[in-house]
Amino acid sequence: MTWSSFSSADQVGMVIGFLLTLSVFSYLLRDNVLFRLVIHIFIGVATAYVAVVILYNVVWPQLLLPLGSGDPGTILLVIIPLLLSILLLARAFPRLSSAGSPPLAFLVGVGAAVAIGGAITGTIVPQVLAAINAGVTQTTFPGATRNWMDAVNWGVILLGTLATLAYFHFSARLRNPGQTPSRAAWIEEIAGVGKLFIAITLGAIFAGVYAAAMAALVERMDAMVQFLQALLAK
Amino acid sequence: MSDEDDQVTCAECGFENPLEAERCQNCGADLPAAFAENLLAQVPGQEPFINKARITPAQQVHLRLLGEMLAVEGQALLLGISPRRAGYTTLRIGTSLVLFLVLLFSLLANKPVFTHPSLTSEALEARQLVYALTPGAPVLFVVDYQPGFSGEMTRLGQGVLAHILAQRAYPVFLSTHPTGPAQAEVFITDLGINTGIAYLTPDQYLNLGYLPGGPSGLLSFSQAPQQVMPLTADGNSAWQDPPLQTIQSLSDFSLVLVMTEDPDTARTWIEQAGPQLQGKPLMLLLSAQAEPSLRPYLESGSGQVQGMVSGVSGGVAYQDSAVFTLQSDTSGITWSAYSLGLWVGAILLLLAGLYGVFRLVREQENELSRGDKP
Repeated sequence: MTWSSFSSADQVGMVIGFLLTLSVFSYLLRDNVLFRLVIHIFIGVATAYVAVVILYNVVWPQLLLPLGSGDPGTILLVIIPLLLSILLLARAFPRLSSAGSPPLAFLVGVGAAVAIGGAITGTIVPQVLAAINAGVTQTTFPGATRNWMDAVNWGVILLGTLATLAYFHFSARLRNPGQTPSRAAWIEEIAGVGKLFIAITLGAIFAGVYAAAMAALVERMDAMVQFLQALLAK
Repeated sequence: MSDEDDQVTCAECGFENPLEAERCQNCGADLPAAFAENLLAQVPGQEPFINKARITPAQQVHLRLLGEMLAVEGQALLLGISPRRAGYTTLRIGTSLVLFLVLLFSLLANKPVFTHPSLTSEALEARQLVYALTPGAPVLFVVDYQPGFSGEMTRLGQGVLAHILAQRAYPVFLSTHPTGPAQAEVFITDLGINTGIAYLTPDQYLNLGYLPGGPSGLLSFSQAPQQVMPLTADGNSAWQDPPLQTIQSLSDFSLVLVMTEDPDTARTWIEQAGPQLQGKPLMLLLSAQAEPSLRPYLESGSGQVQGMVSGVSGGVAYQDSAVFTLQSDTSGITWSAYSLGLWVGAILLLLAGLYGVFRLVREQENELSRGDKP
């Protein structure tokens, strides 16, 4: 596509994108003013945008609109969070900060309860049950699954789980006076296997992070190439 | 504190001091009450109120340790300036240059070097879920990724969204990130450019906007979507028109699809929204970096996740397998450049690892040879 085929807004966006990308890439040489400028712009723009979204998408429809609805029930329901929000603002002033503690405690308490409840019912129990079920299928009902690969897979999962848990077993005993406290020898052995599993897991995660970063890099370079091609095209 | 009520034991020398003494009469060390008072005086805004505390010798030791920790906490540590590694800057710039040149060459050449990947079994299941959608079926499409990942996520999700729209299902966008609503709009606009179709709201899709509250907000939305998100992102009423009139809970959506780069975000959706789905499928569109952490939810057979498309490779394979056409390389990344970049990165990592091993062996040999010399 030629440069003139883009709208003015697109042209401005492309130029800004090109310059900002170049400025970020300049960090490869060393930390410099251009890179810092981009970081400041990014933080400023992101913060302002988030503020606008919260005002427009949360405060206005979920607080101010119901307050002006005229329905006593709705107003009553909104007044409680409104009061808690005002109390929360008191945290900004050292003398009044204790007034902000109740809403903060409420937020933390409810958040923790929901998160912990979800983790137990949504992750720990289903995952443990799934691991047990896989094992039961392999051992108790040999006729049910004859696929030896599944059996190997289950064995690896079992070994990996136990060994990794052993790695995080930090209880140590002082075996001889004057020596450093240490774990039992058999736990040390299993923990060594657990370390291997952890290393493989971190390696897999690193590969994923690298792939995601590569996608971002290629996308940016592609945008720059397209910009230059459009600029140079007749 | 000694057993006798009128004496206090010094933790340093064990001398028995009168209760009113602030310092040990033998060695001059702070006694517990004075020590605790001094400790509290270091904490801003705290008035010392402990006087003549009854503290055991073990507690005295703990207090002393705490005091030492507090004292160190306030001190600025002088970091040793590591000697500048010779050639480190050159190596960094050289590595980047290799990567840039390879990618640039691939992008300018614009010739397919690597064949597209084929669909994985989980992506096949995901495709089946989308094929099962009937016209007008409401699909909750969660756009929960950071803007920095838009290159990967756009390539990953465009094929799936195009497939949903081709099925004439009705995507409803939602995000627990404040930047999500704008990204959803950009996402569908880009898709429109790629397919040559202008998708319009509220005829073909709806954007509910930003859902605040983290896990609590998500749980509330799962139970009562109409009460929690009454309006769309542009301030209009969200639930009055079909096909959303009948939605009372999350289980009334035909499919819930979460697109994210963050394992914790996906986990929160699985944990909070999963139990409310009552058998309706949950599908994940994941960045390559989140996939390893979330695969157990798919492979455990618990049915928590019923379809998954991950990374650029998953997106490319899904796009290739679908019945619609996208002008795929007009925006976003190209598959060949991406694959080449991965290969170059892997080779560089391997070379660096080999160099590290070589250097280690050499250092050990040098140490051994030094040890042999008298």
